[in-house]
Amino acid sequence: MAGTGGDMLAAKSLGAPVHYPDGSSVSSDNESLESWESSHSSSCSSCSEFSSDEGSIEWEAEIRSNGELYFIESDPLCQQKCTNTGSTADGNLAVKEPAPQTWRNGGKLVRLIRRRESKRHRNNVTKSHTTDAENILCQDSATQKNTHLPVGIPKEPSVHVVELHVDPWVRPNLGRRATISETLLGLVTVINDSSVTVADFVPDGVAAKQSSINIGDKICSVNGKDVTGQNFNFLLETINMPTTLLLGISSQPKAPGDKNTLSSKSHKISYQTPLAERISRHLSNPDEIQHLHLQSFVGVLYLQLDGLTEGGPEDQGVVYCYPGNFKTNTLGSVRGAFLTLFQLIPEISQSVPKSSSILVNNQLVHVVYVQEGREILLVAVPSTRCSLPEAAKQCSEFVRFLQFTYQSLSRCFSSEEHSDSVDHHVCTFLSRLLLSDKWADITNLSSFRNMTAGGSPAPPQFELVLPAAHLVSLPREAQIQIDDALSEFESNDIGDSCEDLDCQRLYTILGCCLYHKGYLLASHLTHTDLLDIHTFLRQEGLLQLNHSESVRSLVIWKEVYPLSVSRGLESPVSDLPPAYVIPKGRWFIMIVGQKQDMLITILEAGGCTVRAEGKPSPDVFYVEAAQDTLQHLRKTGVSSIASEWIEAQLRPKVATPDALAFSRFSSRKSNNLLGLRVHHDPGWQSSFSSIINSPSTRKSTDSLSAGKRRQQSPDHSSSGHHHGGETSEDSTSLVASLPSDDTGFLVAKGRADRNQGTHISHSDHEGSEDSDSDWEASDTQTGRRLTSTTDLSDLHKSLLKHVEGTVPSKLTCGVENIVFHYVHIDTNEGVLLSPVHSSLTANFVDILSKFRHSAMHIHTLFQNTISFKKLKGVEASHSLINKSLVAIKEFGVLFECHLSRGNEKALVLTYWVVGRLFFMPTPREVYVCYEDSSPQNLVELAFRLALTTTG
Amino acid sequence: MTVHVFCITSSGGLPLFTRKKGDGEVLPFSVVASLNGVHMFCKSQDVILKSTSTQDTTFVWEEFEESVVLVAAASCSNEVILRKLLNAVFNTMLLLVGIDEIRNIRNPDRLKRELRVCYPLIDKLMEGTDGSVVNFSATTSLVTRFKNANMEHDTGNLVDCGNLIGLSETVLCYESNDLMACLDAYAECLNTQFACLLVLGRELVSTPAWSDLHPLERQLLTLLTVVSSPCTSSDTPVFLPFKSPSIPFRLVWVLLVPGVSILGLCGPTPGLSEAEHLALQCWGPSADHLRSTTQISPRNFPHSIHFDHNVLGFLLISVETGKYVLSCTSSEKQSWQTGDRTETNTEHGSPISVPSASHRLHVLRTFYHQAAESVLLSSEDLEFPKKEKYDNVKESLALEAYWCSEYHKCHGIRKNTNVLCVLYASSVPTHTMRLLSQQTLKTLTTDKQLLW
Repeated sequence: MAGTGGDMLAAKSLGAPVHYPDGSSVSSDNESLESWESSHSSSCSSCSEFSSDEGSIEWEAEIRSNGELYFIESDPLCQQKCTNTGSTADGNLAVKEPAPQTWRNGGKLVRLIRRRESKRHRNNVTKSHTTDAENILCQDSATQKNTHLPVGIPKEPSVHVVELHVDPWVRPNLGRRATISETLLGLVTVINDSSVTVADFVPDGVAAKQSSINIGDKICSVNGKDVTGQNFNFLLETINMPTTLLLGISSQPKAPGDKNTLSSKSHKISYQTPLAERISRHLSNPDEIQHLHLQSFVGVLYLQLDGLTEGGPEDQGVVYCYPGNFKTNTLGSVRGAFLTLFQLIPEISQSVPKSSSILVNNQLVHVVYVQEGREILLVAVPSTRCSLPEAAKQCSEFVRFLQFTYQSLSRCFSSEEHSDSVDHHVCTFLSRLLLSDKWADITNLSSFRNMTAGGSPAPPQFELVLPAAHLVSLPREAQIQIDDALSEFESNDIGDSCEDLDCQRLYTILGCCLYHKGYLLASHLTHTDLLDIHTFLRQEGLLQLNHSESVRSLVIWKEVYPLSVSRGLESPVSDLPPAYVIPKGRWFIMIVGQKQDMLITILEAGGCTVRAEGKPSPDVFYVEAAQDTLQHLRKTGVSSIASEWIEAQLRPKVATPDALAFSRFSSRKSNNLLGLRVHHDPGWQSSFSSIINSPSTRKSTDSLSAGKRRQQSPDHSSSGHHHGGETSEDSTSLVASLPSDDTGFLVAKGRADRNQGTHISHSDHEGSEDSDSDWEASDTQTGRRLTSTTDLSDLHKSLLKHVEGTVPSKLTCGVENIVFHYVHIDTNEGVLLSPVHSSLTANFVDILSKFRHSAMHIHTLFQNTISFKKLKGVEASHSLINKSLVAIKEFGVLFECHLSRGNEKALVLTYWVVGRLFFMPTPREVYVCYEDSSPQNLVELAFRLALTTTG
Repeated sequence: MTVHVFCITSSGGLPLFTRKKGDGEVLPFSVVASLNGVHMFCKSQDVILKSTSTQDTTFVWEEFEESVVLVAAASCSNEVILRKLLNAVFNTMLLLVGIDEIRNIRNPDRLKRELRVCYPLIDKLMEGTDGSVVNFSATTSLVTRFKNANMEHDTGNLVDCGNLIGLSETVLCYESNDLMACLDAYAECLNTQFACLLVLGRELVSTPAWSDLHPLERQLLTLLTVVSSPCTSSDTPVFLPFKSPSIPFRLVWVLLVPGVSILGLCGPTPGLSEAEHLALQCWGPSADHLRSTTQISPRNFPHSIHFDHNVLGFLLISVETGKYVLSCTSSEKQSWQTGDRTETNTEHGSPISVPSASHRLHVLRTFYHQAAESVLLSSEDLEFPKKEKYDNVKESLALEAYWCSEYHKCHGIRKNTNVLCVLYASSVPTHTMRLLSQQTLKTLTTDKQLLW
């Protein structure tokens, strides 16, 4: 990258707090920056931005007395989309509900509107002092009355009328994609069939200037005319002169119980989804949930091993007990048995107990022991919710989380000041255990009750509970972008914002990592810290939030105790002087999120920085720097690439059983039709058009195709070539849209397939003299383009092109791609690779649960080998390990699956679930699920899989 | 590696017996009492303690007939195996003492004395849970013992039985049809439906009624002959834990030729001497025949059948009838032909490239416990008697499973009600194992003369 220094200088003169030395992102003149800003604000209909100054003000009021901050503001605009897609799930849930009376209208929207109302109301009260210029005709009396009603009874929505002065002649320039509602009213609206809902305000718009419209409100009339989804835009378009518009606004009042929890805080978060609310606040009705936990035989108990006397009080030794007290809790009442076992068994077997199984009310319950010093933690989980190995994994993760946030278990459970937050964390943990992956979906108590009451065993969750972060490796170009940005952020180069101050810096950044939609994109942390952070995100529910919802702004700040600094405890003194002395200091985690990106940073106070005193609250400067980094990453298009990458899942490509079955049918037919076999994988469709359209490839195709025809019958390939060269677009769309029984489609597909073969091989041939990977070829192309431009949007495009031009690599050998699922765990790095499945059919869910069940079994078996390898020679001969198990490195299981498609005869599909253990160069485990058609070499497969991380 | 099993009365907490297998210390009474106390305390709180596991040891509690509590503790084992062991131990008690004595314990001291006859059988069962130690010094000694067993045709208690708890061990033999006729004749003379011919502690042929017994009953009855002190005939009163837990039968055992014996379950008559006489009458003519059948061990299937030389051993299980064949030295067929050369190979050659016989047995047993049992078989498969007529294979079960170790490979395959686990040399390509296993299974199960 040339001219980096100059760019940096230019950026400094602009006063940008964070700048990036990659040349591409930082413009060297004011114009392009401004042009971005303007294009950025004009795209208000698609994304609502806010400046960082606003952000800092937003969260300041949310800081708790202990300096912690959990600020989450959901993005209502994106939430609407999510709600729409999730509406079927909600519908199903509503059917199961025995008592649907709590939400008459159903859906999250109603609830959020209800919640909004009370805030709006309160805001009105405060705002009334500041003499609003707007004429507000607010019929609030209804809400006032409603607040006295008992909890849980649905309120009638209150309707009030708002006057807005609109002028269609003086429209703000919001770009041509802005809707009439945005330009005229300054309201971002979501229109569905029956109603129009306010999702956001246009900054400085008409509506933003007054306070009686709130996000989540419904517009029910314009100038007295009833509004529906169909006529809203029409009604606004008819306004052709400046006028005063009377908007009927309907907003849902909120239950007073909720209001109390809200009003206790002086916050101004405009909108939160239920999940975000659950994460950022502590539970609204813990008693009820505690009661449900009591019924479902889960529990957490923290006990002292020593100091118990014969005649002591009944609860002696019980440090912590949840749910209920030690008497009502089953675990608490039999704690003596576990204490005895824990002290007795080491005498017999030289090792402490790890788990017990007990039968309570004919339900098998696993109890997991975790020892810390002379205290033990007991966690009880019913076996229907998770198997014993899963329970052990979950518990160790929970313990890790508690140690990360509270330094040690004893500090966590015995300290009074933590009791509220510990209750919250324990409750969340147990709820997640009970509901497994559905935890994020619970909206209220009755749905929680229904889900826990359901007796069906939880699906096996192998990779979901492994202590490793799910990594999605982006194209190399994007990876470089991310690494650059993160490095710049980590350099902590505070630049001009405090250049005149001689102050010592507040924090050192130990490292940071970037998540997108719940997947790790990049990490600059030691693997122990990465695991700590991943655990933190998972236990706090932030991973689910990041995965399923988009946030407008998220700022979390908390003091933590990372493992890399031995949890802030004194490390045992060794004889040798350590290479690096961990400074005595304090550590903080800072999570900053925007949209579906999250930047997690670990900050160190101590050593070379100012010592942290008291309970430090987040520093605006660091938060802003993180926010800017995220914005920069979005500007360079990394976020959108990540989204597309996750969605498309191009490298490596996985097949779905249904598609495979389908291709079995069709390929059999097409082979008969064409009489030859196609020698390239079916993942070509996505990349087809872009390669065809690239002029250089097309040219080379012409010149080289003759030489490449060896295996193909000449008449077919020439016709195919013609077809591909001129109507490639059509052929792709043909392939995508035509039904399966159309023979014409099959011919087209066959041709296109063959074409693809030739094209790909050409681009291969042309682009890389030094490498045999087609990936390299497209790399050099984008590289060339990069040097010739500094425009950000162009970079984005080129990066995207990069994605499109990628020929997906296939993991398996053989003609077709037959991998359904894979999990690649690097225990050293704490990351796992696995495909992201967007939609799951019933067949696939079945296969996946088999895969996870078997993989867990295999994983458990591999522990023998792993632990044996760790033993030294003498120990090994004396160890109590089954000697026939110590050298197992591969384990496979073959399953059968009946795929039924409509009224066709069920197709029997057999598939392998194979696990393989590697020791060199680093310990890794690979689990693959593939169709049983061509034998696979797991070593090669794992190699190909590992290669994809290089981007 | 230690296995502990102890039995305590539920009401009084009095210890009935304590058995130990392996090199560990005998558990002191205080520990036994505490382990029982924990279970008892939980029971008083309406919580049943089932098991506890540490890094390498598993403890399992089980109460039977609300009268006795059995506790097992073992390293390198798992809960499923230990639970089966406890069940087998309890059935041993029923077999030799009867259910009435155990249900109503009037005099614990007397019961304690009566239970002493169970010790050899319980010890034998505990060997089956042995999930560890194949050290090579023991292996070589075992090989020599094998040679001795083969040459001298000892009574068979030196032969390492497969000992898969809950299943009865058999051998595959072409002479079955001829011997069947003799067996029927003998059973008729003995006036019983239950009779069975044993070769080195494994069933060779049996009457249909014998085959209908619960597999665990069959296993216990045959093991009883294996563990009994060397003699030529015996007469033991036994209760059948599933068929007649309170009315005893007489188990009449007669040694025909060294290594081959005949079992019959009969009523008060005929007496032992008469039974011996009858046995001589019925089996005398085929004595040479019987002597030749002992050659089959430890191959346990006819020498005329040959498999690929990479097949080092196999375990064939019939889920339907609850019987199995464990063959560990099929590649040693050369030793029968070429004599000394391969024997030295087994002893002095690298134990890694050619696993010794007992090592092979051990690997197969481990594969069965760790892979086949949990993946290829469902829990109902091993429950007897079958609740309903056996349908086709459940869809949820796996069809095949394999593992590759540094030193060997194992492959298990299930077809209908048969499960075959094969041990291969590590040089076999993974996908070739499937073909070889399918061939092997076909050879073994389709041969009508083998009476599988």
